[in-house]
Amino acid sequence: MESFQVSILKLYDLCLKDEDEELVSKARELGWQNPSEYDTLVLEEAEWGKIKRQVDQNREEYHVVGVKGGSQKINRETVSDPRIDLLIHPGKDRKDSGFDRGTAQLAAQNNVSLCLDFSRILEEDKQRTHVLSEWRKNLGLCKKYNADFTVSTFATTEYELRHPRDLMSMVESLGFSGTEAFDTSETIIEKNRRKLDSDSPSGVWER
Amino acid sequence: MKRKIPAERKSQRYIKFKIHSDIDHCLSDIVEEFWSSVHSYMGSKDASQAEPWLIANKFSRQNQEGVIRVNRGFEDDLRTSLILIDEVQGEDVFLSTQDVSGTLKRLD
Repeated sequence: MESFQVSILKLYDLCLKDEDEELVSKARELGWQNPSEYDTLVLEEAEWGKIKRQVDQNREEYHVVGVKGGSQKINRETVSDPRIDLLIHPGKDRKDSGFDRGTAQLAAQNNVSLCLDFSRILEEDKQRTHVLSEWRKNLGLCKKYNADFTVSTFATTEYELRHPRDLMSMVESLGFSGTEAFDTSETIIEKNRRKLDSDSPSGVWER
Repeated sequence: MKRKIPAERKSQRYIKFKIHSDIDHCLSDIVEEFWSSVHSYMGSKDASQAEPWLIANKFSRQNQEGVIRVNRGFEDDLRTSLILIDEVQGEDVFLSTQDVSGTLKRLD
């Protein structure tokens, strides 16, 4: 008889902080993996030089390194650096989405994933329309150029948390694959966990 | 009125949700926020096609759970509308989907 291998998707909220115990227990109750099992570094600086310095110093201590984008230079440099895992909010303080064809191609080449920040959507209605339209454009580019994307709640209180399946539905409601988003999170964690645990040369992040 | 034959009936989905909040909310508070969120996310046009309906006799104030009926194909849109609710009567709140089914019986 043929046997089937069923893989169960592990649901990681990559940018969830593990400092608040109530938040962690609520996240686990909703079905997220325990955020204490992995460490995430989110960098937010106005200059690329400062970000680069922090990546140089901290890459080997964190499972996930993400950069909050904004300026064209930071967005481009982030997706050009294979040591960085996530580009978060590339359209910050910009009129456009900050994520264009070139950025998407570089992100695909260097395995940098676009991270959707769900907390932005909980802001006022007018902003919400812009965020959704930006997401739709960015996800379209990711799909076209085979770049990965993921979604995170960025919750700081338990009321900002959401069920992972509901976030999948949101991505699917925009016309893209929700499973793919969580597949990316799992791949990032597993890949970097192997690199952090091993002493072999393959466990080195190359620039 | 004569009952429609199965092939003519609209296929519907039932979505069971849970309210996460410090206080217990009654159905009327949720209904208001629910419609506001559905109209904000789906708009009147899509909402009219989805025909969402909060089933009153399936709402449990004790467990803070309820069931919404929606036309098939609009489940994801409705679930997204539910997660956009972050406040009910000035209290912080969030909703999560427990289950989706084609029959009410399976949700019990």
